[in-house]
Amino acid sequence: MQGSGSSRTPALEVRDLSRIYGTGDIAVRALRGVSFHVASGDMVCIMGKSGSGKSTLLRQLGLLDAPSSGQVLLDGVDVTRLRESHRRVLRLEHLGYVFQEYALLPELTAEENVYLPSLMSGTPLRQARLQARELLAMLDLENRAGRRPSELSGGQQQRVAIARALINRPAVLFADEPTGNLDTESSERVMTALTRMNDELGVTVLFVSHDSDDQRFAKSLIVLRDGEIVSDVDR
Amino acid sequence: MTALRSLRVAAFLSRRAITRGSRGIVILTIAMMAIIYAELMFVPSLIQGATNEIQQELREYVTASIAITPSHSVPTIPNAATLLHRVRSTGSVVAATATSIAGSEVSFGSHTNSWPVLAVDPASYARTFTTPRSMIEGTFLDPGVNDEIVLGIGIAGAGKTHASTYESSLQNVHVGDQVNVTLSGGRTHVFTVKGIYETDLTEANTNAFISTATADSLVPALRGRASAIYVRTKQIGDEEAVIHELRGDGRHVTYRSWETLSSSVKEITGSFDTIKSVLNAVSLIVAAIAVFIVTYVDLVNKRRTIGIERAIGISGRAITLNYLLKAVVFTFFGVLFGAALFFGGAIPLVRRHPFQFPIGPVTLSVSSNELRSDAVILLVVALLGALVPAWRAVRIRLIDAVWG
Repeated sequence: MQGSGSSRTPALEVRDLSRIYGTGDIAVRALRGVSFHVASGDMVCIMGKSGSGKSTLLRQLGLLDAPSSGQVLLDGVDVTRLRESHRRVLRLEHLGYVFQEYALLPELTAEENVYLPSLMSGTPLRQARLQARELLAMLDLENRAGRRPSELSGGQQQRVAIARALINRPAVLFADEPTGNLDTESSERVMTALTRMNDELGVTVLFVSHDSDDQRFAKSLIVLRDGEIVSDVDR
Repeated sequence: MTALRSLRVAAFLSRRAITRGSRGIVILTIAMMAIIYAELMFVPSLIQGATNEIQQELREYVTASIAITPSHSVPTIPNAATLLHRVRSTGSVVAATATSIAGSEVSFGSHTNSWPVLAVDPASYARTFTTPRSMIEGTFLDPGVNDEIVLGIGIAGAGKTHASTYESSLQNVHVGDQVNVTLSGGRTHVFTVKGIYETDLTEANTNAFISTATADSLVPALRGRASAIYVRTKQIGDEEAVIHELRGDGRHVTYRSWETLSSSVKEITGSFDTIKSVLNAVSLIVAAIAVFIVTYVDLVNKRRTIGIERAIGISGRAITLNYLLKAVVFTFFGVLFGAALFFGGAIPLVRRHPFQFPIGPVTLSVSSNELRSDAVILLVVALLGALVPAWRAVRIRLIDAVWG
């Protein structure tokens, strides 16, 4: 990750990104002209205090929200002003997103949650199931595949969410405070899982955290304050 | 291709939502659809039952299957016996009888009124109509020449003060009483009341009957002639074929089926159809609102789930289809259970305890066409009820759906 220039191919580039909520006197500038780029295969931790704009930034990058101004480029292509139908396809096939609150579908088993995006991509059911089992095995959840989310611990649910985000082999994985609701042991396992996915699958990972302890898992670090980058470090 | 994928994902999601979601919601929704379907069928089938009853009574007491009447140029059918013979030898004809208007006024004591006095052959009349089996006092006519008369309750009154026709009737005539009849040609004759009948059809209760032999002896001008010939066919629906066969005869008579003759009750059945349409429309609106509410509440509860589905790349089409498929499943089982409720519960119950209408006991009558069209209409309504909130839900801003 670098503020400017890099020898590696940027998987993601952000140019002068701003997000303003509301209008007039009640307008809140959540992001103020943020620019950076992330190299393919990097693992970036976005840190900052509560309200610093970390989650807002991740939502723009994950194409879950549209910025007020600026650009987001994926593999050199500006995706900022794409129609929702195209953004959805990008979310499905090129990006993965892990929510703080796991966000699994309660009526599906762990395995079904994982392979649902794969079904949407057109993968045959048998193959999708096989891929889901492989991912769950990588995340030490092979014997939890048939369980519903309500039957899993927070850490297990978050690892299932990671598996789901990875099922379509995305180029970039975003994780919004993935350990925010977990105890120390579960947090460690989740972060280890993300690191493994980054190392073994080569997925570019951007994760948001307010826990300084999580920095050790990152190769790069961005620190936000009041919607602006105050520190941008390659480690 | 994308549409197929969406359908596949929708089927995947809806199947799991139905089988693993809230049992209570699934059962209540299907129960609601079943009740709406049964209710959709109930009113039309009751109205159809009433219409059938009226039409059957018309055939049994007034029109038979076919009525043959003189053409406009002549008042009576000449050589009625020949035509009657020809009619009886026609295939699909079970019975036929000729009637003549032998008189037009009946009086008893101080009460006098105008009613048709029909000359009939008692045996063939009893084979063609069921009036002779509706006696409440005495018996029907004997053949041959006699001074016997049978009166409808609308003429005799028979002391039934609560009857709607009592005031205009002779009020207190019973079997054995003597009444004066003004016959065609102006002659008056005294008849002894042999029987009084009462049918469920009020209009059929204002006839008086004497035997053809008696009428021929009292009014010789009627001999060999008939005011009408009534024909009973083997089955309902045979009428047009029989009429077609008889028309070849070349006589100057008019053939009319009971359906044509029942135009007098078309106003009633037409009103029934209007009521049926209004009630159907109300039921369908209720169904649409019910499905809308169920889907809407479901969607409100699953707003975040839908947001997450969209966030991980599930198409809006798949999410909408998921809700439409659920509506199809709920309607399918609702129709199934509704039909079971209707055929297994309502129909046998009403058959055992028919509704008592002024026209007589009415049971439920439903056609397979009505069953099908009600099911299809309910499905369309359910789909619309599900489509609107689902369509709206997938158009909420993603950020609002997930975090709003």
